Amino acid sequence: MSEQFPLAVVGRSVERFDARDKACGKAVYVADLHFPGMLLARPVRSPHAHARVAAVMVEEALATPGVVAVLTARDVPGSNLVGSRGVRDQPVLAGEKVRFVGEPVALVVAETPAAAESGVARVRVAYEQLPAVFSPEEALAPGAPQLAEGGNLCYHGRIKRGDFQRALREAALVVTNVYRTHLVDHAFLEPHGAVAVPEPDGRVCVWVTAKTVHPLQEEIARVLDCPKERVRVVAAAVGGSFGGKPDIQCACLAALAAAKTGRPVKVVYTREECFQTSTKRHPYVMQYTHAVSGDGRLLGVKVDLVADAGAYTGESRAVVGRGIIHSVGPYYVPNVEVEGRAVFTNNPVSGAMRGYGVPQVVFAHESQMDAVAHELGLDPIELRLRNILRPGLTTITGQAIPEGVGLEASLLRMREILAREASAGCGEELTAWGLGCFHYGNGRTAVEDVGRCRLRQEVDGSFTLFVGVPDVGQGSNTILAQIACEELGVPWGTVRVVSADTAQTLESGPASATRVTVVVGRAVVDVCRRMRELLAGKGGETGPPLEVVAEFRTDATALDENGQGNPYSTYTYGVQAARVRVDRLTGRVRVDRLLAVYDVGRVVNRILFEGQVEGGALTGIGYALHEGVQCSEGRVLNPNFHTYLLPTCPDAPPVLVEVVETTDGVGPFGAKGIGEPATCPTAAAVANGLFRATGVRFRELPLTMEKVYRALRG
Amino acid sequence: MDEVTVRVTVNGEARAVRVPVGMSLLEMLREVLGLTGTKYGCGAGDCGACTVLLDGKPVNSCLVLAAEVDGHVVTTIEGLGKAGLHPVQEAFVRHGAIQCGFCSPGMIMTAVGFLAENPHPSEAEVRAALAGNLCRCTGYAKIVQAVLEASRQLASLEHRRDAIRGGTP
Amino acid sequence: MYPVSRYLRPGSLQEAIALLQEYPGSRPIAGGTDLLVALKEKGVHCDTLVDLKGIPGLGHLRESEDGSVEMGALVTIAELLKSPVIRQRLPLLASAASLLGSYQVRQRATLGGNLCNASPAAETACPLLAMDARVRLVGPRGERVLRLADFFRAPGQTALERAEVLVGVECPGVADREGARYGGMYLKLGPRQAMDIAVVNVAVWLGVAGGRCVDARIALGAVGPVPFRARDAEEALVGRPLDAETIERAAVAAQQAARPIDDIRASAWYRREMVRNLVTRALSGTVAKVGRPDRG
Repeated sequence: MSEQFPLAVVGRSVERFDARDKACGKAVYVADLHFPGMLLARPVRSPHAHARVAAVMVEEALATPGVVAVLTARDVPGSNLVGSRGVRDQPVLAGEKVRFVGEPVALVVAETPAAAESGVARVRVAYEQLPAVFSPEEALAPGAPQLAEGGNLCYHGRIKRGDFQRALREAALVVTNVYRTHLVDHAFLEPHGAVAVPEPDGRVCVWVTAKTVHPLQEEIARVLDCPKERVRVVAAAVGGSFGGKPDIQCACLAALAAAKTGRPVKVVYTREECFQTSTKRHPYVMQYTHAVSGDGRLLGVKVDLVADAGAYTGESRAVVGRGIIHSVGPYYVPNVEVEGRAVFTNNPVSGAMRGYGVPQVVFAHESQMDAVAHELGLDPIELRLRNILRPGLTTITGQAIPEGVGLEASLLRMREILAREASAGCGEELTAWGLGCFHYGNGRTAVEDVGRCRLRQEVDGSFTLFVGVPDVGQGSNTILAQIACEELGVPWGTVRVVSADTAQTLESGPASATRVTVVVGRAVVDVCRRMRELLAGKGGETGPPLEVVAEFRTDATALDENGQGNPYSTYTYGVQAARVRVDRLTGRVRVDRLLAVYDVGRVVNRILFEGQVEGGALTGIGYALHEGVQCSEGRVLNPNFHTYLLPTCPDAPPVLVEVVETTDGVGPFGAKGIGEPATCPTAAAVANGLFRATGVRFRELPLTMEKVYRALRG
Repeated sequence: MDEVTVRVTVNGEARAVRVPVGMSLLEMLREVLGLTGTKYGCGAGDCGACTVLLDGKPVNSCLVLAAEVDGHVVTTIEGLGKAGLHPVQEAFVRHGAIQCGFCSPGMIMTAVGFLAENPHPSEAEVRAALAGNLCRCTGYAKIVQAVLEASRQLASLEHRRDAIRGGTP
Repeated sequence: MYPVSRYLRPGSLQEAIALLQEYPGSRPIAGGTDLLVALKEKGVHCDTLVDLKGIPGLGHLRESEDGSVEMGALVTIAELLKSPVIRQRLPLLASAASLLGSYQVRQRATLGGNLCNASPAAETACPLLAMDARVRLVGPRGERVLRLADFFRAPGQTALERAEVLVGVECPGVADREGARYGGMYLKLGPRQAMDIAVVNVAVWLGVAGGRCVDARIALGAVGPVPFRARDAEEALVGRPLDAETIERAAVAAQQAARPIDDIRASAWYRREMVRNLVTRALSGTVAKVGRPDRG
């Protein structure tokens, strides 16, 4: 696409499909489903972080009035191990060992919630506690208890390019620091849940709240030991995911219970269970060394990062893999040595969370960039402009930057906006702006990412678009329909969308990796083109309904042993600035204004786009300031919203969102993804603002009142 | 556990239900009356997803026993705007205040109750009133815009109604 | 589902007291916003709930001719906030009420409930302690009046005896006496703008006449087992001009009176530091409001 041309539907803030139903309370989430004869299931969870399960005694529970069945690992007909992306190491019901607090060891199925609770209280489990490890340092120490058969190292990736040692020798300035980030929770408002319904033909239909359905179908079939075709997985309305709803465990538990009892079964977790057992954002410890020339050019960067993977693999390999690819930021660095490791511990399982391993490294590399600017007496934007990725340059994986990227334009625009924004502090408050700059690969990492869809012309001339990926609340169904209308040349309202039903839709990957608009959207473009060709061929004749399918594959490639290759087809670029106010007397930090300038190629729906940035940035502010899962020996000490502190409405600063539209993206009409990029740079911007306000560099998140006060007091 | 009979007006309809003493209003609405528009988000009064109007005032239905509403009037999201959308719902839709939608019913009920008490709020007042309704998707910006827009909408409806009344001989 | 097996709704105070006597393990419930959470999370055992909301005469809120204010135990936090009497006569209580919980919780939560819950961080406690509030209790042995300072015993524990009910709170009036001006400030520290349980709360109330402090009350919350008055800090102020040095001395005295603990919200060290800084801020802010007392 060489130029931006006016479009009819793409670019309009059309009303999302589900808005009215959601406003009226009519949208159906898993917890809202009801089927005749439905039972309720509650897991029995381990109180120990690491223990051998000697025996699970269910007789007393089974005798409880209202309890219909109690399942243990022995009741799993097929494979008891499930996982993401082909790595299956987590049991559905722990049989021999538990590796984290809250891991399910049994499932009580009952007529009522009260009976299920009573049943849970009457399941006796004999545990033999095992030595446990609660940090990667402990886990990697000699003699540490080994959690997995292959040892405690879950993943090790590296990127090597050029000669870092030479860069170090030639550098005028070397900046070395260690950064630490903490454990946070997705805290979607809708808890995990699933409902499994046995069908008369022997199949089971499982309703889920998840970011994907087809992989779940496969996992459930393996657990039930039946052909995939006997399992149908459908996403109900999804009340937020942010990466945190692989929901394999929940879906498998419901399916197992339905298979065992022959009745519909609902599992819904409490908020406390969600905090204790759902996946979290990986804590990182990151050692950075920047080698810089006297005029502020990055000669080399060395990064060594260690992530706490928690008890099982989950998505750790891909998360940390993405983390190291993005570890130096959107800058040209000719010499790099990057190592990333994910390490098993007995903490809650870490997984995918909005930004997928990247907000951590943005916090580190942007803190480093500001530290370099400070050392050299350079303006932070100026330093970045001297180093950003421009057409013709390459990333640290050797990927060439194409013409048309908008990072420079975004930074220049940010400089203009900042020039007219007020920054004066007053009295007991210290105030300053801080900056965070980033890039983010769209689509799955270092694999050919595939989007598929099916389009049917109905007898009335309207169209139905079938896509496998669920709308997790971000509005992807609406976005994909806008793309379809545009490509088909039909008015808004002519295309409806059916999504995330294994019986009706083709697998088109998960709602993650900032991939839906770009990768699935391109498949939509292709399917519409085919439909148009077919329609043109028919010349307006009537006939049976037409149906076409399409598949789009990105040109991303695997990385070699030095981490070289093209891991993504397209990158989103951007910069955020946060105005930080610090109360000298208390150390309390507030963000009272946030600016965001993004190169997202082309905006498909302005309102939905702004909603992503505003919401993502506030998640970033919570990450920076006051969110944090506090664990003691693997037990979450703050499993509720009065101790795990989400930003509230009065905490949210006004956000100014601006867009630089560009032409380098492979997405439909040049669009790039925004979901995760919205969160990536915020914590970095806050930390940099805090440095400029106070003169103190904070290298560990979160920036709590007490931590800041302690530092200010010196 | 004892059972109690609760006689309560829900969305304009008189109901009498027998429920266990320990049942919350939230559980009664969802599990006994099938009104699933009201959501469970935390069960501790922190998130606001379960907000309903009790005698016109927004409350966390998870922190009210069903037994306590005997003789009272409850309005849930299903009872708003029987003929079309309520202006607050309409504003939420129009301003993009809804993403995953799980907080929306509670958020809307708080806004409706709040605007009845304070029809012309400032932005700060709106934000303070919504502090007990957590949203993880939107960053609240569009929600605040929607509530402010709804307040103007409701005021002009009120104005029109007054004008009609005033014009009737 | 709450672990409760009996719910009773008496129509009079005497009936309520009789029921509380009759059922061991019973508890009164008003707004329920603390009690129900405690039943679920803190393992508080309570078999029978006696709902006080059907009792007439506990929802009053009035000002007497002498300027004192009487509040029924069932007055909700939302009602306190809306009341011109409270805003005018007990401005610190109005501030605290606006910071208590959420809009929804304030509709339901009652003044009596907030005090009987006896949280060290109870929002209404510090302002009422600063105003020398008294609580009226009625039980099987009749009625008694206690200073609020004597009401709190330990976290979650009050002076209430079995089957005794807190029915009301009274605050003596504090009008500007001849030559003296009164004012104060309530500060609550939490990480967010709303919905926090206080890390520290501070209420300060000063009377100033002839360039000197004639009356000083400083109440502290979340820095000891119960909210309390920092008497040494008050004494450091009375009779002196409210200059920076005096304020500093009072703030340090308040800090020394604090006996905080480490918990999930903050360390004891930080809380002690915050007592000094927030008392300083509240005193300075109050002095700025009631006017520099230099010239009397």
